[in-house]
This record gives sequence, structure tokens and C-alpha cells, in this order.
Amino acid sequence: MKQSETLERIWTTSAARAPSAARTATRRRITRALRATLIYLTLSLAAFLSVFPVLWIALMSIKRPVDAVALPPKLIFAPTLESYEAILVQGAVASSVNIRGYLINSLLIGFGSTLVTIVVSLFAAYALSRFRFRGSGLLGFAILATRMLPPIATIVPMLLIMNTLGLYDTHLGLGLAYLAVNAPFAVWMLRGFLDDVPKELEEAAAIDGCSRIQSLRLIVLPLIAPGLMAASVYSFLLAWNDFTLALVLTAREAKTLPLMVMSFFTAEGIAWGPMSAAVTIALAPPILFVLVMQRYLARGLTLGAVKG
Amino acid sequence: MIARRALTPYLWLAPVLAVLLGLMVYPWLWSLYLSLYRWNPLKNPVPAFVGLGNYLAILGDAEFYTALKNTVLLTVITVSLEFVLGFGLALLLNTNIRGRAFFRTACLVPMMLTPSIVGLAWKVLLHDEMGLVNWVLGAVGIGPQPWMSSPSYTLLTVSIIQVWQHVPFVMLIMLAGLQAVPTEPMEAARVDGASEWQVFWNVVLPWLKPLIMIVLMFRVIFAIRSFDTIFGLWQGAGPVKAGLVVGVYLYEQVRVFWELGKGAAISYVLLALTIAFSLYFTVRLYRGLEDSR
Repeated sequence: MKQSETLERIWTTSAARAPSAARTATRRRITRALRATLIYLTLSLAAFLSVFPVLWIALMSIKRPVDAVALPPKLIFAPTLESYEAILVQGAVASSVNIRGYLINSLLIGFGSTLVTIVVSLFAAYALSRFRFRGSGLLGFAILATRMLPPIATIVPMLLIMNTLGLYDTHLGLGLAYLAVNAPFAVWMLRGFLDDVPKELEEAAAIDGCSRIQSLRLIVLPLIAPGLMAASVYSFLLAWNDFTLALVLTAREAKTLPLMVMSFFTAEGIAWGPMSAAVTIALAPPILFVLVMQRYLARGLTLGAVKG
Repeated sequence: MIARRALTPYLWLAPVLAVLLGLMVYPWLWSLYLSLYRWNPLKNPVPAFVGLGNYLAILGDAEFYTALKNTVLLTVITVSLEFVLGFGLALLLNTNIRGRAFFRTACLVPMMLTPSIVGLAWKVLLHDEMGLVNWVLGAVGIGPQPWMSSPSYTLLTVSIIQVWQHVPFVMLIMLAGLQAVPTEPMEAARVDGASEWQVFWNVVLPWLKPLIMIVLMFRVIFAIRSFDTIFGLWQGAGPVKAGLVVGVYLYEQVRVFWELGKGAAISYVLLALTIAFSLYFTVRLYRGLEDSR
């Protein structure tokens, strides 16, 4: 930008254009200011639209239920935590939605499956990255190809196998399903990060008598810490956000938060208070993670795609 | 000793392979086998072999074609809009205005949210009587619209919500791409007298083409499996089944009608569609890479 500006200035201050140089400069300044304003306005609109729906529901959750649906919308109100209290403390069951139970399940299954996924995927990714053996390329591709499977299309296979294993409607069953779904992407992602760590470091450690496991734990792991975080967050979010598998593989015991959408609207009316509180709770971790991890999001998504 | 060495990588891979083979490969092969049988546990507890009968039944099912039509429509509309808006936002964020980080963060929010709960949240906003959107529309004179209850609005409603949720994905990737464009070709073009528009069209865009292909491919693959959001909105196929997409069709066949064999067959049809699109984009991608060599 600067180079072309300088060149333009050189050209426009040549004798033939000298008289209008000042006017052109001012005109350019105005257009630039106009351009900047337009950009600000558009981005502000985009940002507002992106954030508003969630913000509105969150606001609803701290209003009294009668204020929450008041039209024209009440922007000045007395905040109250009664909706949260109802669903978390009292364990209120609104329209047969036991939010507290769903929340506990989501947390358990989310953290549990993520932990196992990362450990298992790390070993696999390390093997693909460090060992040269027959079929390593094909295996890597095959692992990634399983990600192409549409989740909804897996409901018949999943239902069959979980039922056979006796894991229908269990935490273990759903957790294993998430492990199977998450592992390919986690392996691919971790392998990318591992490939960035030079093998010479481990070779040097080996000379000093370090075993593979030790060098993995003491040298490699700290170096790929951001990658581990990113992979963990992705895995957790996938388990936290999943609806399809949870819908098909659970009945009463292992229901997770996303399933709340099946129940809040009934003939009696809409449970606005508990519902908005539940939605806010359910959306909090994803938003939190986006804010914390945004630096790594682009890296994880475009690994290998952008040749920078 | 040598044998043990050779085994090591497989040992490290064993857990992942066990899980994937047991919970992915085996069930999918079982499904393929099942798709050749008619099995409705409510009607015939013993599966009956029908060969390609299920696939033929699907191809002869008017509902399937409705679902397919809706899926294609939804995919084309949402992916196009997502791309245009996402790329546009990326271009705006690639300028050097202040507060970029704030805008980028704000625009990223919809991306990682739970799709089914996004459906529920928008259901509240788009509620025909009590929803905020209709109140605003009434206030500005356009008047309330039947977002949730009218079948003619169904696909529009789903499109709006899905575009809202997935624009950040496109924006993020295109922004990363824009920031990685090498500066030398751009500077060279400018020195030669090219306008900013010409630089963009002839230097930046061609360089970004592979990335654009990848973004479009991912969005298409994920759009054709739409399911969560629609269920978040209607807990089913929508008013007069206007929201019937292939995913919902599959779910209904399995959980409502208990046609497990047919469901397995639909799974493979959906898989075939996904592979077809992936191949199309991958081929275009590689052809593009070949051209630029």
C-alpha cells in the first residue's frame, strides 16, 4: 500500500499536474475516511447480528419470566436468578426436561470422552508422525476418511452395535460413540502439530538415554501444548454439541443438554424462564472456548490447507 | 528384538484402530449387509432378504425425492450466501482499521454453538406471536411473518439460521488465506499500474482458489447432513413436512417407522452423495493445482 502511494505521489506532483495535487490529496483523504466509516458500520452490524440472539436469550434468563416475553421488550428490568435457581438448585423439571441431570451428563460424558480421545489419539498420531512403517500413509488417510461419514447416517450402525453391547442409554455407550467420531480428527490434528516438532530433539534425548515414552512426555508434550489444547477443545465441543447421536443412543439415563430442544414446548405453554436459563448454560462453554481458543481455531482448521 | 521393533508402531496405533474398527468399520459393514434385508422389528422380527429392494423402494419413494430436493435447495442457498458473506467479512477484516480483533471475535461466536440449541434460540426469536423479530418487523411497518408455522417459510427460516451460524467458518478460513497471500506478486502488479480491483481479481483471487474450493467442499458436505437445527426448531420435519431433508427422512424411517433395513440403505445413499461431492471438489482442487504448476 505504501509503495504504490509513494509512487502515485511522485507521479501526481509532476509539473503537468502540480496545480491539482493538493485537491487530489484532500479528495483521497475524504474517500479514505468514507471507506473506513463504511467498513466500521458494516462490521458493527455483522458483529451485532452475530452476538444478538445469544445475548437476548441470556438477558431473558435473568429476567422474571413475565418480563422476559414482554412486548415491547423490556430493556430496563430487575434482574433475578430465579430461573437458574429453579433448574439448578431445585432441580425443577419443566416439561419433563431435567436440566440439572442433562448438565451433569454432558459434563461427565464431555470430559470423559475428551480425555480418552486425546490420550488414544496422541499415541496414534505419534506413531503416524514418527514411525515409518508399511501402510502408514494409507492408514492416515483412512482415519481421516472416516470423518466424511455423516453423523445422521451412522445412527443405524451405532444403534445396532450399542444395543448389542448392551450400552444403549449409558454414559459409557455415548462416550465411546463420541470417541469413535472424534478420534480421526484428533489424530489428524495432533499429527500435524507433531510433525512440526523436529525429530532431532528426540534423537538428542535418546542419545542421553531417554526412552521414547520419556521423551514424549518431557520434550514433545510441552512443545505441542497449544495443539493439545486445541484438539481437546474440539473434541469436548463435539461431545458437548452433539445432538444426533445423543438423540438416538439415549432414552432416560444418559440424556445430554442438546436434547432439551425436544421438550420445552408443550400444550400447557412455554417454560420461558427455565428454557432461557438452560439455553444460556448450554451455550456458555462453546462461547467461552471460542473466545479463549480463537487464535488456534484458524490454525487447526487450515492445517496444511494454506501454504504460507 | 527386530520383531518387537517392527510391532511398536502398531501397538501405539492399536487403541485407535480398535475403536475405529469396532465402532465405525464393523457397524457400517453390518449396515451394508442389513440394507439388503427388510427388517422392521415391529412387523417382522426376523430380517427378510430383499436384495436391492430397499434401494429401489427409496428411489420409488416420493418423500425421498422431496427430501432430496429440499436438501439440494438448502445446500445451494446456504453455501452460496455463506461464501459471499463470509468472504466479504474476511475482506473487511483484512483492512487495517482499528478494533479488528473485537469485530472478528464477535463474528466468530455463532460458529461453535450447539446447532440444535441454536435452533431453539432462534425459535424463541422467531416465535410467531411472542418473538422479538416479528415485533421489530411490526414496528418498522413490514408486519409479522409466519416464520415457524408456514410451510412456505420453512426453508427460508432454516436457511437464515444456518447462514447465521456458518458464515464465521468461511470468514475465518478466507481471512487466514487473505493474510497469507504473498506480497511480491501484488506489489509487482501495482508497480505495473494495476488498480486495486485488478490486483484483487488477477493476483489474489487465483491464489486463493484452492482454499475457496476447500471451504466450499466443507460447507457442502456439512450442509447436506442438516438435521440438528431443524429438530431444534420443529422436533421433526416442520409444518406439513416442509423441512424434510435427507437427514430427517432417514431419522423418520428408523425411529418412527422402525424400517431398519431401509434406514441402512438411506445411510448409504447419503454417504454416496457425500463422497460424490467430496470427489467433485477434490478433483477440481487438484486440477487447479495442476494448472498453476
